[in-house]
Amino acid sequence: MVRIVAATSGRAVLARAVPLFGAIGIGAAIVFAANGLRAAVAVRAMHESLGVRAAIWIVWIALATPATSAAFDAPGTRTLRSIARKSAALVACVVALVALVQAPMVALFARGDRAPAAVAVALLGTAACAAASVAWRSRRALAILAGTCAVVAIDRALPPLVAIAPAALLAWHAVREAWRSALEERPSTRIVRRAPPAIALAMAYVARMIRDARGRLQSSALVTSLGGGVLALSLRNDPDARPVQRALVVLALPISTACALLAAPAIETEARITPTLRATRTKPLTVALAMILAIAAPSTAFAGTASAVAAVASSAPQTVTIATMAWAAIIASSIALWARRASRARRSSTFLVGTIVIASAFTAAAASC
Amino acid sequence: MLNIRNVTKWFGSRRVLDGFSLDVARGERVVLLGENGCGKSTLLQLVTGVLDAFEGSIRVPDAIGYAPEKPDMPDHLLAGEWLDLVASLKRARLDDGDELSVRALLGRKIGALSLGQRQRVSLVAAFTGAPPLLVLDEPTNALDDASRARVTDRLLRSTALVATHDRDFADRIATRIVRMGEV
Repeated sequence: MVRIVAATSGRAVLARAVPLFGAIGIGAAIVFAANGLRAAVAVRAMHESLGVRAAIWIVWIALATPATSAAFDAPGTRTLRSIARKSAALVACVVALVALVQAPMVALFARGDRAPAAVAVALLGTAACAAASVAWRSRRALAILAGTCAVVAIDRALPPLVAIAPAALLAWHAVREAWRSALEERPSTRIVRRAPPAIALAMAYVARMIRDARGRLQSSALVTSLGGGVLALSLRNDPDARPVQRALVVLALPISTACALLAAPAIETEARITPTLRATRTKPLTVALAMILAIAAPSTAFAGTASAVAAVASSAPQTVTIATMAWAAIIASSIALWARRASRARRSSTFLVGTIVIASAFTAAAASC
Repeated sequence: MLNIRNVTKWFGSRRVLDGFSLDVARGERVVLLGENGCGKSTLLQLVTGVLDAFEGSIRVPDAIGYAPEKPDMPDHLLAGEWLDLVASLKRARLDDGDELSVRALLGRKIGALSLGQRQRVSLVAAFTGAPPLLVLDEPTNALDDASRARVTDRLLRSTALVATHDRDFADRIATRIVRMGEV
């Protein structure tokens, strides 16, 4: 059973969780650097303040739910459902798989608190993410999510060893409910509309990001936000010393990373519809433009938001935002064109190396201005 | 309308088509019959430009309506979104009629449709913009009887190159049947 779950749900979960872990790893390396925040301080702040606890859990559930939902709706799960109907071993395996997605929170609590607290957090995270992934389809999942929030809210009133029991119960029922209702069809909002070819095609790529690659979309938002945080700290020290140049230097790497994360779903969609693109005689320029628009639209929005917040927080001029958005559009265009070229080589290492070169080149270009 | 001259196609060391020639005049419906692997689908992919490395020459109209044997529609799109996308790429308007009864499917994800429903959406996409030439690969695959009859009616008003294993369907629509042999 473990092997079957790993080969079906496990593979899909991993595909979504790895980019998330990568983005969190970059953020954690900055926040928990040698002179930075200590895990114990962060955990103590969560224990002492309901506001901090709620904010961190809400962000975490939003980030981890897309990876979690892959455990329930990956293509191979249909066969698995027919093989192991109502199997306790199956539920246990999926609970363990979803608990793996909680690795960043578990690592935080393992370092900042003790082992029982880390176990309780793994189970509560499992319950919350599993229930959240089907909350709009199932009242029972909504009730489990509410129950999990209640356990998180009372926190200190429950010693970790005592909290493990209700957390395990919630995780078990949440996973069982998510497994039961994950494949029910739900209505989607229409994204692609009749439009000029490049725009219609770009909308099809963005639809893929929103519907099937939410983890990547959230990771790119997270990476850009972290860049915005670093920019705010930098601008706060001296808001008047060439703020635009500093913004372009600081954000070149996060924007490149965000664009690289968004490239894969767009490239996969383009590959899928290539026969139609050829049969409709769609010009290569139109296809390239669509790819640029699809990657530039979300990454420019993320970069604009992050730099606007950083500028407001540090009393820097808003020209920083305009310059950053233009910078993001240029970087996104480069990554989009490189992604199309690298996809023909069919080697992800080619794309990765090119992305690093692009990020370095833009950072160096901004620094030398 | 369509001129294929001495077309030879290799996949590695395997020759799939060997000096194949065919003309399709306006109003003609040519059906390709033949065993699996005889090159029917390959020929249609060459005609539509999906495959483009071959010897010989193919002259086609500017616009073609193509429905592949395995529809290449992405699972994440709604059926209505796919039809809008194809209409946008063809710079055409979507037909207001509902000859293949796809209206009820427009708000559903392609990944959630049955094989027959996907085939209907794929055929409607091929018909979009009323192209002068239809190139259809196994168009009756997974279709129910009513949809099959509607596809037959639609084809009887078109110029088409069709590959099929369905002998009865071929007899109904064909003005000419071409047997392709194993190469």
